[in-house]
Amino acid sequence: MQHGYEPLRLHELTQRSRGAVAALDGIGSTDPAAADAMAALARLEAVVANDMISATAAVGLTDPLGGPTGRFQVEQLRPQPRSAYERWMDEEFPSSPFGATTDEELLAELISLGDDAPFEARFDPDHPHWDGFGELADELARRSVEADSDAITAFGQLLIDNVWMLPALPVAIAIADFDPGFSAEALAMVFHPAAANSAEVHRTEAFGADLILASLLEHPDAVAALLERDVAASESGAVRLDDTFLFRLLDSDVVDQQILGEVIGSVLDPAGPVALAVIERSLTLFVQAANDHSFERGFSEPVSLALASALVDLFPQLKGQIRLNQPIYFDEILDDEAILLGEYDDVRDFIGAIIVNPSGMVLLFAVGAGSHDIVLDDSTARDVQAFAELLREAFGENLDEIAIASSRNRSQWNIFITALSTAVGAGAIGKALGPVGVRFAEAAIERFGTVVTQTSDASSGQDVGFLAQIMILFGSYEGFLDQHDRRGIVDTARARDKLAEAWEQFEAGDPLGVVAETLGDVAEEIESLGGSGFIDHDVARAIEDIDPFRADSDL
Amino acid sequence: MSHALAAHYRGRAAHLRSLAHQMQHTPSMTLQTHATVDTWHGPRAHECNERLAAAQRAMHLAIDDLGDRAWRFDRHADDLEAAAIRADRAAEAAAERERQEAEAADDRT
Repeated sequence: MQHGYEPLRLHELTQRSRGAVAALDGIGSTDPAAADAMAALARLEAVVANDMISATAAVGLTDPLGGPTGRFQVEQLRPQPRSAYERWMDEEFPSSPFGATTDEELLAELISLGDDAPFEARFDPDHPHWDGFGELADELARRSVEADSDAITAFGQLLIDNVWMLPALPVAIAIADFDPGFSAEALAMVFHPAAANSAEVHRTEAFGADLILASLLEHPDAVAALLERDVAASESGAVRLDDTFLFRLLDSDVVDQQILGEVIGSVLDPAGPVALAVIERSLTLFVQAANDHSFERGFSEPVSLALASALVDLFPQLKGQIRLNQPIYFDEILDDEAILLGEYDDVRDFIGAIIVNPSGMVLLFAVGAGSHDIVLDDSTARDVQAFAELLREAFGENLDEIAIASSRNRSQWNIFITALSTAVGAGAIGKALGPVGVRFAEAAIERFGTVVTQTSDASSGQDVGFLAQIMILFGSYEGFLDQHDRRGIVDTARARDKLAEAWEQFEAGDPLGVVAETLGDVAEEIESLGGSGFIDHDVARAIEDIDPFRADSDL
Repeated sequence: MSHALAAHYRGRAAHLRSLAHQMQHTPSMTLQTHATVDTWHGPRAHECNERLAAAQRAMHLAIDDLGDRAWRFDRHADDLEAAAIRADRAAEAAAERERQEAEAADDRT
């Protein structure tokens, strides 16, 4: 191939290339949205400086006759000024890799790691891509809040404002010890109503929200602060309900509902760090969410479970407050500070949104049973009747939704529907369950909560049917022993020991057949205490009662 | 807050557009006009010109992307401002209602 050059034009090219490099050096941006542009800029600068100028200079140097003047060649021998890119490349970094970096450099590193992050089903902090990311994450955590006040710094706010464009940030939050207030604000920004539907938002919501949410599991007060903000916005009417943080979180298709349920459960736990009044006000938001016209599918199973648990825990606060068609307040209605849970119909619909899920239904069933204790303690049946009526109405109002779920898995649903019906009707099973109700329901959900939402198969259907029978046996036997203990005529210690042994087996996850065998021993003890009639008639009838759908042959 | 946030995003959009303009008009983007076969030719010259063209193409893509991002920031700012205006109006309406109720209460007394 022939080659050649025109010395004057080549000199012109060299000069213009130098000018071009100087001009590129003058362009810069620290905006994370311009990261790709800065990379393109650096690439062009490298091509011009390292390829064009080097080549033209080499031509001039190696040609004894070349160059317009001798000055041109001497000039090439002088050291070239270093570009910003080269200076950065030459820089020696301290042993603590990020301690001396500027905020901009730290941000650039975060962007770079996020850009080529592995996109799998979810961000996995254990993926090799994140090896060594801990030091950067620690530095980000340190710079995101003021050391002395925990107030979010300008740099921290920059991260929050751009959380959608920083896919590595949620991973950093999952790995490092970020201030919970910062993490909560980042989560709120992910669900900012003004930012829906862009690709970045969807990506962050899909891959990052779970990580941030999980990091807040141990800090329910930080999530509660966001809910408080929702309450204030809702009360002032400034923000539509479906634009609130809570609603958008509940309505999300991509957030792991199991994690969400756990976080909500920790926020609404009266034994946790969140103040009771905040819990009560937060619960009112869920009532509103359940009644919003665009929220029609009910709560997910884990959220239902968390809300049902909260209702169980807060039931004492509602004592005496449930009256037909009257607004339901926490605590005394005459108290100026009393918090309104909701109008009667709204609370009914809230419960409806819980019980379309089997776990929520079972736990509320337990409330129906557990509330007997409260009634017995206070010598009044009014609360349990009022609550049972509320449950019954919620059940009736949501028959269609329950029927839809039932059609998926009828045999298993029948068990729970029947159990709930019986409990709220204060029938034989509900009365018999008594004190064992709540803890039984919790253990049952732990063991079988997911089974009942899966499509029916012979083994799981059989399990749930068997479970229901065992539920009745536990409740009935304990009720029988309670009655005899109150009379104090016979010694029930051996029967109680056996019952406790069966319970331990159940909690330990032993096969239901093993539990049933031990319960058989309890039955023998009860018979020896004169309870043959109880076993043969009351318990047998209760087991019979639980299956009203006899046409369903697979049960 | 939403107004301030909207201003923040508008500021960023303006910055990105300004950056795109700077990049579009930087001398490097027309350097190829001085590196034609009239200036030099041969394998190395060809290779240099190819690399320059590739880097310029990357710049053009980045400039387009900046324009897209600026547009999205502006739309985001529009949404935020609309939300802020709705909130302002709701607050004003609430204040007006309170004022009218207070006047009505005064009239009754």
